[in-house]
Amino acid sequence: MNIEVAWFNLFIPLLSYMGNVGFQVLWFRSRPNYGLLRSEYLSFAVGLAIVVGLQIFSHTTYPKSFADMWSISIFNLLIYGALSYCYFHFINLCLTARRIRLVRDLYAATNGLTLDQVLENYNSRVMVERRTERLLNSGQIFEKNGRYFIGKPMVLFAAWVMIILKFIFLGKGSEYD
Amino acid sequence: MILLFWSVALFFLAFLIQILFWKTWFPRRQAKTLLVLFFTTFIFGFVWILTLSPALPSLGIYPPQHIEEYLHIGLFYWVFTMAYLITYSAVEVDSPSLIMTMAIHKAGKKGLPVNVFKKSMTDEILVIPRVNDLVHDKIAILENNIYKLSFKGIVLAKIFNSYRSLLRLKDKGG
Repeated sequence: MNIEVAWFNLFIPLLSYMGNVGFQVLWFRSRPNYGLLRSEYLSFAVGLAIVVGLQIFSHTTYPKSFADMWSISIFNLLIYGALSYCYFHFINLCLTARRIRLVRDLYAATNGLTLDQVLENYNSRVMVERRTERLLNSGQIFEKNGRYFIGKPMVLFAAWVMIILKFIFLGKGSEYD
Repeated sequence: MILLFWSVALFFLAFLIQILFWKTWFPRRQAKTLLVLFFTTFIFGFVWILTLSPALPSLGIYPPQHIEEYLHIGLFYWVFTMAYLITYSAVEVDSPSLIMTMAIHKAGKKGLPVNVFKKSMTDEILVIPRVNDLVHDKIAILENNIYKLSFKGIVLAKIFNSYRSLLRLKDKGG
């Protein structure tokens, strides 16, 4: 492969990822009511368009065989997809991760916190309320006659995948087993 | 095709080594061990490719030719390692949303009464293990029954607080 095009191809997923992150930050800051998750989907699509655009530019500027063209395109799409997946989880950590919430609570308390003080700020009741609200709002669960039922199967599917992975790596389905 | 082949082969090799390692000696600090294993596989993998590169074409396997191709393989490998590490953190500890969804699923067609559901989700299950994890992972220090952040914890808090400020997130999170 031509050295010039090899360097250009190397930077395609990185440039696209920067486009994704930059767009997401600017879009969400200017339209906070748009929704964080929707802004992530939109910015992913923007980054994807950049990958495709740059890949087309690369193939038209430096023509190569059909097989090479497809393999490098898939390769860069995979890298871009994995980078976006990491960014999606980073935002998720900012918003929902228990450990990050606890770390931020401890950071805010200059003299540290006892366990009771930790639980005063953040406890299972608060957590369950927040997460139930999120699951209800996204339609993953619904309430009928004072009982909860499974709605859309997305989170349930993720839960099953996690249980299978836990069995593969840990030999048990839950950390509490 | 060469880039895809070597990247996937290296990543898959690291993954296999991890599974074998986990079966023989299960580490206490899983994320750290996983990173060390993947880093070691990466270094030895590259050395192996460079050492054997003159002999490989005779076997019908073509090694990367230029530095930028090695960098591209490295980029793929590390991005996928990071993505894998993030996914693995959800394997290591149970996510409350997934626990809650499974509890409702297990209740079946009758559904799970709201009060039973809320009572079953206690601090002992959802919060206290994560507080202990902070100490175990040296993010926090426990002194005289008071939890304080270590240097690592302070850096972590600053990173997440900065990004939350950048996105102007108001919700306290968690």
